[in-house]
Amino acid sequence: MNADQDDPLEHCFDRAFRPEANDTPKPQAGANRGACSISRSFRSGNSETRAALGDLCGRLAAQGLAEDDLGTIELVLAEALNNITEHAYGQGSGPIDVALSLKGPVILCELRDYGRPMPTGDAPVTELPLISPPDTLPEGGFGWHIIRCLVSDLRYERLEGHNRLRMAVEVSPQG
Amino acid sequence: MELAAETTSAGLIVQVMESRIDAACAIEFKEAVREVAELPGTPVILDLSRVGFLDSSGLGAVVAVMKMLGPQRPLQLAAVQPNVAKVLRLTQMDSVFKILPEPPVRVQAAS
Repeated sequence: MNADQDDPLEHCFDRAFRPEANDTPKPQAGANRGACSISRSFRSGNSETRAALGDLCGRLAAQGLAEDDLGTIELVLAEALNNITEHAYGQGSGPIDVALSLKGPVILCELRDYGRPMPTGDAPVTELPLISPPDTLPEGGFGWHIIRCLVSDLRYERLEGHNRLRMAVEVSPQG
Repeated sequence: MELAAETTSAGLIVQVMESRIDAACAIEFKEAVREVAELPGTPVILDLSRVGFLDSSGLGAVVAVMKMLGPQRPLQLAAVQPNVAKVLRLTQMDSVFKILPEPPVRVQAAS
């Protein structure tokens, strides 16, 4: 692996989604296979999320992703998209851009929306809500915990007028 | 939100005939179960054999159903598929519900 002083994951995201931003790519052992890029832009909303998940995961399935990995990525995307729909856009709606880059053992995901920023300036690091039946049974607050359990890396940034959420999901070698 | 429900000697079996319980249908799901829960039978066994996807909204709806039924009428989950089992495990809700590999009885097809 190239002994880069830069953040190697940031490098991967940049190379995956903005190849023109880089110098001549440096060869890296084990990371030189071609990447498959899948993207979709759509308007926020629950039924729109369903359609987007169907499309994106269908295209990932065509790349030979294992069932368990497909389930994981669908869940991660669903939770992130639900958050955008409910919190970034709230009562309104707006555009969402999803870009996925499948490269060997990892899927890089980048989600952009043009809604409100995260209130704390960062993605929540939440513990599970207290579960203590029968009196304390939470109906919400699970989403970010689920995401953080399933991703190997997560970065949120507020850029000019939009939110950018990047995540990395580790997957098994495709058949 | 289509459900098939039947009172049996093993309780009220409610088979979810949809493939997803998610943000798009969580509210409908709660309402539909509320209606069929007027049928007698305890425990209430949710047959999830056809459900291939459950997100945190769907999980919230299932928890809401459990709370609606109350402590005297337990909610059990049957035939939980791998993606759904994953969500229950990650949220530790798999310790809250009794989970059966299969429903004790399959709901008869509507005549």
